[in-house]
Amino acid sequence: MQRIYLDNASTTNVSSEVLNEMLPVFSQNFGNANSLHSFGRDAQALVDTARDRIAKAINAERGEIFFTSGGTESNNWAILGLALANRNKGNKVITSQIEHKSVLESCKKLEKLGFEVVYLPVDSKGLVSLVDLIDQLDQKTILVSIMSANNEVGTIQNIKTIAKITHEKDVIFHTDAVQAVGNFAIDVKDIEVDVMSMSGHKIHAPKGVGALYVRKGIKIDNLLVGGEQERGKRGGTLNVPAIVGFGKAFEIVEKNYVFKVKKLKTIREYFVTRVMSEINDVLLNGHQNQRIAGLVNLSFVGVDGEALLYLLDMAGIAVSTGSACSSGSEEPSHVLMAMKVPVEVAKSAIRFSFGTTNTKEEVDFVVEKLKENVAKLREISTVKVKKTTGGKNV
Amino acid sequence: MYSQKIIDRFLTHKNAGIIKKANGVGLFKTVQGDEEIKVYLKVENGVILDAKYKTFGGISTIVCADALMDLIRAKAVDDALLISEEDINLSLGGLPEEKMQSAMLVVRGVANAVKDYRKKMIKLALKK
Repeated sequence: MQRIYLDNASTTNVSSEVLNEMLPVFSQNFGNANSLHSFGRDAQALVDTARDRIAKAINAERGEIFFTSGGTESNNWAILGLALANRNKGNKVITSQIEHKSVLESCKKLEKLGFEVVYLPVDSKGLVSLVDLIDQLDQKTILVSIMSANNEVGTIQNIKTIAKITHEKDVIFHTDAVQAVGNFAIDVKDIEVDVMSMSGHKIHAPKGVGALYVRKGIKIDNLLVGGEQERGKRGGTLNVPAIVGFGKAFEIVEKNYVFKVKKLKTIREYFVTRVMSEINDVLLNGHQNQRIAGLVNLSFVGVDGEALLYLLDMAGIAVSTGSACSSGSEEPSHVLMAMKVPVEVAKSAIRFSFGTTNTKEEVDFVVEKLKENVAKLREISTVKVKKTTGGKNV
Repeated sequence: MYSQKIIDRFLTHKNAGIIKKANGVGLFKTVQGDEEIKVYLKVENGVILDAKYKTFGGISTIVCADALMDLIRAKAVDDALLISEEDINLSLGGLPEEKMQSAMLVVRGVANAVKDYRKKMIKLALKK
C-alpha cells in the first residue's frame, strides 16, 4: 500500500542533504563542544558554523542564537526567562488564546507565580486584534508573545505591526516562529522582534533541536541551569549532530524558500479547489489568503475528525485532526474555539499539511479517499448535510 | 490506542442506520454539543426486536453505540435500561479510559429512546 504523508506541520523527514552533513559528526567529530582538546574544538567549530548559518538566514548576529532541544524548550525559556528577568519593570504579560500549548502552559505557570497574563482573543480568521493589543499594553506590561503563524489553521499574524505597537510602549516582543520558519523569509531586524523561537524538525532537520534568537541587550533568565554551555545561558551538553543538521536545514531553507512556497501553494490550491468542488459542506478554517503555503484546515460537516483521520490512515494517508488532542482528550481545539468556530464544526476539522515531495497524483488519490470516507461517515451521522458529492460547497 | 476488536467494530458498524417504523426514538447530545446519538427502537410487547443508531461522534462513540445495539436487541425494555457503561466496555474488550464518556453517551441515548417508547404506549393506552 502506498503511504502519503500530509502531516508536515507536525514533523518532517530529515532530508538527505541534512543527513549527509550530520553523519560524520556521530562517528568522527563526536567531541563535546565544551571540551578544551581538539575533539572538543572540532565539535565547537561545527556548532559555530551552524550558528552562523542560522544567524545569516534570519539576519541576526552569531551571539544572538542559542541552541535548545526544540520549539517547546524555546517557548518555555522565552516566556519564563523573559518574565522573570524583567519582573522589576512590571508583572503583566500579553499573549493570545491561540498560542501553542508550550506558550500557554508557561503563561499559566507565570500566573501561579503572581504575574498577570492577558490572553488576547482572535477573530474568526485567527488574527489577533491590534486594537485589543493597544488597549492592553500599559505601564505594567513587560512582555508580549504572539506566534508568527498558527500551527493548526496556518493563519499568519501581522507580526511587524504587532512588534511596532509593542515597542512603542517599550515592551519586549517574543514570537513563536516554529511554523513560520521555512514558509516565509524572516528578517529579525526588519520585523523588529526581540526574541524568537525556532525548531529543527519542521524544516527537515532532526527532532530534538531548536534555537532561541535573543536580541543583544535583552535580559533573559536561564531555564536550564547546571552548565556553562551557550555562553552560560543554557546548561546541557550540546547535541552537536542535530545542531549541525539544523544549521544545514536553515541554509537550504534560505536558498529555497521562494521555490518551496510556490510549489506548496500550487499543490494546496489544487487540493482545496478539488475538495471544495467535489464534496459538499466543507468549511475552511483560518484565513483565506494570509496563511502558510502548505497548510490547510478543513471541516467536513457532520463527520467526526478522529473517525475520518482513522479511515484515511487505513488508506495510507497521514493527516491530523484540528483538535490535535495529544493527551487523547475529547476537548475540541482551543484554536478553533478561540476563533468562535461552532463546536461541532471544530470536531470535524482535519489539518492537511503538504511537503514539497507531495505530487498531484497523491492529491488526486487523497481526494478520492476523502470523498469515499466522508460519504461513509455522513451516512451514519445525525447531522444532516446535502448530497456528499457533486454540489456546491459552503 | 484502540484494540483491533474496536477497530473492526468501527469499520463494520453493522448496527448503524435507521428503523423506518421505529416506535421508540431517543436523541442525546453532550452538554458541549460536540457529540450526539440518535437511537431507533422497534419494540413489540415490551421486547426490543431491533435497534439502530446514528451518531455524530468519534470512533469510541460509534463502537459503543454499535455494541449497545447488540446488547439490547431481544431484551425487554426494562432489562435494556439495566445495561451499563461497564457492560459495553466489557463487550468491546476494554475502551481506552479517557473514552468511557462515549459509553455514557450511548446509554443515555437508549434511555431516551425507551422513554419515547413508553410515552407512546401511554398515549395509545389513553386512546383506547
